[in-house]
Amino acid sequence: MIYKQIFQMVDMGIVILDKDFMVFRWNNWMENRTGLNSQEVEGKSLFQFYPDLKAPWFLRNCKAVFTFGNFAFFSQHLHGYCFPIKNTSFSFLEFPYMQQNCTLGPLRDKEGSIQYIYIMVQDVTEIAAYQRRLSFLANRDGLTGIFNRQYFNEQYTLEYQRHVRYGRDLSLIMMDLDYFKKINDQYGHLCGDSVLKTFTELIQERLRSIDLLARYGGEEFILLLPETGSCAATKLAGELRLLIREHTFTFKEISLKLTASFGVSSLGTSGDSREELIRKADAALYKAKKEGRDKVVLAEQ
Amino acid sequence: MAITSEKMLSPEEKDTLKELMNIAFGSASADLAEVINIYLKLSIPEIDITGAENLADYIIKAVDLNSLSTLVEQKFWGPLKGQGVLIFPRAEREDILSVLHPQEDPASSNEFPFHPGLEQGAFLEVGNILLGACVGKIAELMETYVTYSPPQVLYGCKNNLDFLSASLSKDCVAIILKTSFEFYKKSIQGFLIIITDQSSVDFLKEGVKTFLEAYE
Repeated sequence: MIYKQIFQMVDMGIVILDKDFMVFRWNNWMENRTGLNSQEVEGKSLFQFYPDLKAPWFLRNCKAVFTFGNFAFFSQHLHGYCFPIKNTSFSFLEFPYMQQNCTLGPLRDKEGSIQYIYIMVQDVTEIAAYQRRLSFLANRDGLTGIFNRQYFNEQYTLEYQRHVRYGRDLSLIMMDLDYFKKINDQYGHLCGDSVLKTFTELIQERLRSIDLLARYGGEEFILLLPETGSCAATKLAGELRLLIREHTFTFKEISLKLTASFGVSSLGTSGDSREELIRKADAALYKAKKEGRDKVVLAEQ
Repeated sequence: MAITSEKMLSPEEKDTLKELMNIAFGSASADLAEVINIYLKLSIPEIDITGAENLADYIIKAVDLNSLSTLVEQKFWGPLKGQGVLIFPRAEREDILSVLHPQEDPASSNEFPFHPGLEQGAFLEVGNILLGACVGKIAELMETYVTYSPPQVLYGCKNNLDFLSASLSKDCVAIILKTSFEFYKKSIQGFLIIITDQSSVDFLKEGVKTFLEAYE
């Protein structure tokens, strides 16, 4: 009696399935959130209502729970959700569906054999929305909105490890706006800020989704290019150089023609350390500046 | 005062525990093949006892752990309590995905609902199922059940291993049940380690005793 009340009152979805994936129990929480009442669902196949769950990842884990009595975990981080339930909270634009942590586990009879499995559904939409917002704030540069140096360092470490594991190509482009200090001195910092914003927007538009642009210092930016060798990286740097050169930067009534310099370094078979690759890109950028600016220099491998 | 391995488990108890694990793992791999199409070959298990503070060093040495290794860790509790760790010394992304997708090109599979965590998801799922199968079968032979925490994926470095001994008290002794495994027709190999401590010794001894009696 008490357990039945808890089953109905608890603030999480509980679904009980038999070995044929027929719904044995469907609690109040599931009724309220899905709009499907228990009489409608119980005794029928779960897949009649949620056909997307008839997928190998779900079936495999259910079979494992029935066979071994282990638990299976479908985290929001990896799966988003198991049951597509419309998100009615403030974050519905970010997450159209309720974000869920789901756990599967065994239910045994008196003899200890597993007759049913349960699925527990936890609504973690609010946490996921805050996490996304916090990670956005923690990882971005306040002025330009691109990634900050700390985030770059984390991602670069991961990409570098991937390179070591799988031997994939990896390149860096270090870039810097030429004579940026003069813009600040002559037209003021607001103009300088506007130039930096436009500069990053122009670069960002040209990149693939897997490339990562970050603000490395004042007017210095770094581009992480996974799966990219030195030829492709140098070609891209050349295109970016032209893009900046051909663009007219405007701020109020001011129009400016600007250039940028680029240093490229790549990990092929050179076996450079993580730090060495950055140092090489920086040295190549310095060389580009020294040789007259508005240039691309590829570091020696 | 340090407890010697003989005080924890007698040589006879150790041998019986080994035998019990062997049966449990054999049964686990048979069921994995039949029910989930995961074809696994497990070697004869070994049992070691080491101080909790030496656990990380022990594992690094025992499995040739390096920065390319991937680990899946999961805690379990009940009368038998501890941690299960799967270690893939050098698992390629495609290999681990192919364990779950035997017939198809894993890269093109849409089996996982979200792509960015594909590799991590595959490690977590394979780890959860393998550890659940092996620990579950040991528990079954000892006529008990255990519950599990969600698994986590770690990459091979000593810092990541130190936390394994964090849940054991400092002067505690870790009982390590270790076996190596490989998947049929895949180039993926690894180690499965189950770590438990004094709190489970009495239960293990009792289980071993019951097991022996059944065969006498």
